[in-house]
Amino acid sequence: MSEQKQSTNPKPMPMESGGSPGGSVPGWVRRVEGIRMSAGARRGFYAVLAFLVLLDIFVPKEHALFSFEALPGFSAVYGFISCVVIIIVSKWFGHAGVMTREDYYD
Amino acid sequence: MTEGSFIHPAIFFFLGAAGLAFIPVRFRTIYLMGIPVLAGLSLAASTPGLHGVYSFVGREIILGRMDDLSRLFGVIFILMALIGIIYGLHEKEKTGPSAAALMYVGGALGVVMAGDYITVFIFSEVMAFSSVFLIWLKRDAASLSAGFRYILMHLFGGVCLLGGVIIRLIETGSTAFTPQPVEGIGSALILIGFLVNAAVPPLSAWLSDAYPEATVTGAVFLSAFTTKTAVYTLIRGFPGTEALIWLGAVMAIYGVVYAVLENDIRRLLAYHIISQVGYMVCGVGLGTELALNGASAHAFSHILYKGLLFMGAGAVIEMTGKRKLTELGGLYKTMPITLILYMIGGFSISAFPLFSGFVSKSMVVSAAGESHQAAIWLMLTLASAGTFLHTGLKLPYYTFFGKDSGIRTSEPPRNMLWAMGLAAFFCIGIGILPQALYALLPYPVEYHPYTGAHVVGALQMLLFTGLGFMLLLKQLDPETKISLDTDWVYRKGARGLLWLAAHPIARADAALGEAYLSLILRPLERLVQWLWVFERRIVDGAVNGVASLTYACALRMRLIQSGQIQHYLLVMVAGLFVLLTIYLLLF
Repeated sequence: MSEQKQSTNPKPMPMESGGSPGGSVPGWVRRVEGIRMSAGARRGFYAVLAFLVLLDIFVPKEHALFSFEALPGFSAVYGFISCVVIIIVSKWFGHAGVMTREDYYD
Repeated sequence: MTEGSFIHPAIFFFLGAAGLAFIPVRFRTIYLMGIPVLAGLSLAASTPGLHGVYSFVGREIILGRMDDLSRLFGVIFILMALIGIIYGLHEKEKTGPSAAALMYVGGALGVVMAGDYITVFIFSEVMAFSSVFLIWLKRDAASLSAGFRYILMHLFGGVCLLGGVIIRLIETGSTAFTPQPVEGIGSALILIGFLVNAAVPPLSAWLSDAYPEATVTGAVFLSAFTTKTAVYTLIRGFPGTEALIWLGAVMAIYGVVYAVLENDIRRLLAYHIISQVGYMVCGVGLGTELALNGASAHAFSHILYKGLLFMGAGAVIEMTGKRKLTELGGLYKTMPITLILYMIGGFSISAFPLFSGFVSKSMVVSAAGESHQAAIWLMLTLASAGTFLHTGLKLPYYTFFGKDSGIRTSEPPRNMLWAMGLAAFFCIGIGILPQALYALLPYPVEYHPYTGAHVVGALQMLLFTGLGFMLLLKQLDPETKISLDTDWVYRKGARGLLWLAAHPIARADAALGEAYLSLILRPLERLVQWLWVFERRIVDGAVNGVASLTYACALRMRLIQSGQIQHYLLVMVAGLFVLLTIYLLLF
């Protein structure tokens, strides 16, 4: 999901545990990497999001337990808000003193 | 008591652990894998009812209660034991870790088949004391101290449980392990004992503290058994306890919040155990048939996908020796199979359609909806977004993609991949064929996860969470920090207690000693001294005075003893004369 380009020439690092060398990356992995870096992937992702919200308008919701659940796109909005709220509130909580240096208990 | 065949599946694990040391190394693989297979056969052959009923100090001990609920947990425990054993087959040190793991699984099977509280207590202790070795066997200073904290917290929980069982026995005369309302201190203590094992905040820090310090294979076992055994005991003992609804929902969010802050990959996953067990605790609290089915089903699928996630993270640690997101990155190039298998676990925990979490977690969330608990429903749904955000996106992104750490390694040993593949197979299998899982649940299931609205809703929820992740990626960059949790109380708080003992309490003790010396000892000493003088001068003086008077009189009296009768007569006459005179003078 990152648009950041991967370095095509990873600098050689000492082997951690005698595995296969970096050069022998399987072909299909390289292809996945290609898709990952394409700007089209992002556009495709947005298209899927829009399609899902559109679909939500037409899906029958006779089993909805709460009135808000039946609103088209409710899950999309709530999911996005949840994600943002969790990140912002947790980081605020962490920086309010809960996060501390790694050798705190030593 | 019912007639019928029953061999307790735990026996195979206990005997297997005992016999391990006598098995030559080249037969170890077949021996270890045979244990869960035999236990599974014995479980399949057992008939429903009460088995192994004994009398112990006047109480009824029920070792084998076999019904739908205990069978469900028995099946998943034995399956997970097989997966965990396969995952650890490559280890050179076999006897110790395997014996600890086998004892641990045996204890868990003992608890889920126990029909009375004494048996529950005994097997819970077996679990605690065998599982701590899965931590200690990592053999470093961090795991040693984390293991001690782990065992102390479980001892605390065990003491609560035992105390509660005894008080309940005195109050009601029963040790039967059956549903009960929380009234009185006995049942409250039992509940606290179970909540410690379920890692319900604020009694949860032992989990996120200890699991990341366990061995690679040990953490896979730990992730599966303790908390899910606790969920079983809650389903069995306290269904419909209202406080659990809120505790569970808060727990689901609590785990997610801490996961945002976490840098250690297995500690991040450990916080998501707390979050996921929150759904189960909430389901137990809701107490409807759908909710209890949901809690049971979610425990079943959770064991598999959480085991898979811990196996994936363990494979990364095994191959790279690194455990922090800030030190990892770019591993997809050399560990693509591990990545794919990990992601199957990630999609399962995130409840993607066609993966196991989708068919089990949604039962609990729907049960909250059917009970008209809108706030609980919203909290659980919010925690779902957080689950995908961390387990499905953040952890794999910073481990396998992200900034290239330059680490070039290889896939883990084949047995680890096979174990992960087996777990992944079941994660997808349950997602595609939920009826197979639903058939095992304690109540009849009339729940259909794959409705259009549910699938579209879940996909919107998850993919828009993904959108949030893309937009806020920079915010999520891991930090080389640790987060303070409630274990602060006994890690720093205990130091405070020691300081308190070394300074104020020691000073108070010295002052008290001084006061005792000057107010009590010294006056007492003076009193004794005075008494000694009194004794010598007065008492001794009196005695000695009488003695010397008698002696002096005797010296003089001796002179009268002349031996001549006339002298004696004279004395007698004189004496009579004196007596007569005294008599006449006085009267």
